[in-house]
Amino acid sequence: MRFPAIRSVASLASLSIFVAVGCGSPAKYVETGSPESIVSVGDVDMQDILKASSGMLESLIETGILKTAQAKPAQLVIDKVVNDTSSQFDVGELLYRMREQLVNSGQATVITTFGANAEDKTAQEQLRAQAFRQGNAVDGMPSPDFSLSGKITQVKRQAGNTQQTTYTFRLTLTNIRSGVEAWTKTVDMTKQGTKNSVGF
Amino acid sequence: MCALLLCAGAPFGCQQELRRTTKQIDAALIAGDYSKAEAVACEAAAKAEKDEQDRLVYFMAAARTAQIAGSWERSDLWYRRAFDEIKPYLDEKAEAKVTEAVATTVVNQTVRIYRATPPERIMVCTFDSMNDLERGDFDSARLKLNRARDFQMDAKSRFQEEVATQQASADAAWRKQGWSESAASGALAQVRSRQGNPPEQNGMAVLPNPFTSYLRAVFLLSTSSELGDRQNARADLRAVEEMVPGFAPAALDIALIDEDPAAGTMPVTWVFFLSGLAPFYDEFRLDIPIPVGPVNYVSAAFPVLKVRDDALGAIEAASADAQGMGTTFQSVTLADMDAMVRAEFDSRLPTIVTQEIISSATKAAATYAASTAAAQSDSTVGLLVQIAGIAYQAASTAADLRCWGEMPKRIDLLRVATPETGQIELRRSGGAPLCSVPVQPKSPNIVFVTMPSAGAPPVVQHVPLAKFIPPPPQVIAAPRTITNPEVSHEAAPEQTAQEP
Amino acid sequence: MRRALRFALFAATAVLNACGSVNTTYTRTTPSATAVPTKTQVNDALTQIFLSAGEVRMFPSKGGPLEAQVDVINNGFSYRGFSYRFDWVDANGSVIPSQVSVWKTSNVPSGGSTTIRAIAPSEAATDFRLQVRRADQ
Repeated sequence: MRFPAIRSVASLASLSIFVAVGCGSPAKYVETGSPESIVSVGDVDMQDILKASSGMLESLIETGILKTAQAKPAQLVIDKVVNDTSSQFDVGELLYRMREQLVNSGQATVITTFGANAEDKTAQEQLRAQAFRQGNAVDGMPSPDFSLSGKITQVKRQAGNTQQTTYTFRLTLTNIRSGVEAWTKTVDMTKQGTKNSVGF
Repeated sequence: MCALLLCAGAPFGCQQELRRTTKQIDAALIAGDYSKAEAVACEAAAKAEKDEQDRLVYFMAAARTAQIAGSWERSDLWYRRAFDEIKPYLDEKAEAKVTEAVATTVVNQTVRIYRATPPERIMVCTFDSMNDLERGDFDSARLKLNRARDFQMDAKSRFQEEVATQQASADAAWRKQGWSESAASGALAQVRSRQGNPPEQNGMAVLPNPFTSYLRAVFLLSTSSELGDRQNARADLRAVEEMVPGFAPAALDIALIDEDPAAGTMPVTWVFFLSGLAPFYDEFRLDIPIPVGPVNYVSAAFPVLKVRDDALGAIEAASADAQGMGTTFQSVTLADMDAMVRAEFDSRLPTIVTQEIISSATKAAATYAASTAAAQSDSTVGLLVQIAGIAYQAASTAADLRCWGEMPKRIDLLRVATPETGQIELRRSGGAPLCSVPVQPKSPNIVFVTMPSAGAPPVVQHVPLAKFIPPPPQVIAAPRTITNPEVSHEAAPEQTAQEP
Repeated sequence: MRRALRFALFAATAVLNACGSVNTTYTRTTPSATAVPTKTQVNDALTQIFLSAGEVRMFPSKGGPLEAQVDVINNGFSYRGFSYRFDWVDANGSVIPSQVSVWKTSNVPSGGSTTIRAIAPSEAATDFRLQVRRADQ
């Protein structure tokens, strides 16, 4: 009498395990930056980067600042963008999206052979050597119109179990010829979440 | 039944392997055998990868010992693993779990997943940043120091509330049993007495670590001229002044920020002296007067904090400059890790004591009930059940002794004007030479000196802060006058001798 | 009967106000100079969350490319979060791929409105398409 009961309990347990395994959702593709993406309160997510780069680009285009450059299209040099958050991500994710839009649409060019932190040191050396050979050490070198720099900061706050983080993306375009700030923009992302005191 | 007896005889959650490994690591560190400490700790950490319960303790030990031994890459790896373990508790995972509470009652506190204490979490990120600083990876150092700040804020805003919640839950469980409250308060008093706590040190902890705040301030003020960074550095130094009232170097550095020198130009060297090892836990067994069946007492085990005294006190440096010739500077205590660990532990101690007594009494009551029920049908079986129960209780009575004992006992700061000679001669308090530290003249430097015991050889990590600061982009098409980097700056702060 | 209805309306308004709804005042009674006629397709989800598009404006920005502004009105009883995305099209009606077109989020309180805006990626853009989705946030 006891054995059938044990068997039915065992069957039920196996069935529940089967059901539990069967309920796991398979991996799927989601559109990058779409509302289905995972949102984390304590980290900069890809959708934050996408929104920030979009906001920055819109502002750059809206003001028409790039059209005021001496060179056509405007020549940019990318200076340092400091990640002053506690979230690990590559600031290049932000900058490359902006560069892609500006360069590919013909609104700006990015000089990668400029300054002490040139992105492409090899090309810079080649350029220098070529300019030197031609006796044109100064005029042969690129002469950018603007330098792009910035900082990404965070402000975290907690009230009870609710946590809030505001990430602020700040970019500044400096006119290299005049040394004057030509454009600046901040884009804020505020995220809120709750952490349980007790879990299971 | 035989299986039950066998199981009962085996130790449950006694952390025997962990305790043995920790002893070996600490002994090697104290003896100054840093490579041995690293080898033992890293091997144990690699083995513990799948041990969800204890692996964080191993990771932290491996990271710090590898750092002391100079294996930066290995140290980075283990700090990264440790951070991965603690990060979810910042904004995702709950600090307490219902299932775990049940398990700790049935077995003991050692079966909890180790999540690190707030001071440990802060130090994981701070130590991690030290590796980046030494490598000159300032972007990564900034990130790690910001993570440390996140954990500082978390400790400040949430820890006390969580301790209070856990205590309330343990108190409710206690009242449900109808036991006398004096049993718990008496046990708590005995544990505190065993520990040697001065009564004024009991109570809630103040957890933010002034070392972390100071390091971040020094890093920001030396490597960035940006207004926001300078003001963050100032805010950190003000926080240090609040945490360590009358801390003279903080006032000097605030004045330095207000003078607003360019990044990388201030000729100041900050020597952080990380002395000794943090406290560890010992087990203290105690009989609690709670009657269960025919027995009037239940046996319980509690952790008691043991402070290690083998550490060098303050250090000194003599100025080699003409300006300060003959002046000796002495380090001042910036962070008393002993006090921080003690305060944090003491905040949790009432909950630990209550939970441990509940666990011991529950196990004793279960044994009594099972043996009584079994004896009603067969007296021999009843006796065997009772023996198995007693053996299980004995085997599972163990205190949770996990902690990060490889942190320093205290951290001193010695702030000196960077000598033109490029060398700082450090001495023990009293004048005996300790070590010679190379620094980059005319610029800011950070130096970390680690000595796990008074007799261990000092380990020096030097961070020349000006070396890695990239020069601003130069306009080649329209050349400007290039400033001579060798020009001395008059903004050098005046160094004053500080009282020990 | 009429008094009872008036009272019910007053009570409902009071409850809505207590729930964080807002009163919105417009001074403009005629469409703005830059208002454009629009073809709006409101999907089921949008209808369910009581969001509707008000005036739609489109005009050249200072830099040249077009700027679009859409007033989104919340006719529902609760605070609503939504995601939106502007896609820009050229004179031939082809979508211009750009990093500007990403999903963004916004919120609008009950009874209130908000203006979402976007700048075209280049002067080749002559029109836009707007997608709006419910966002559970």
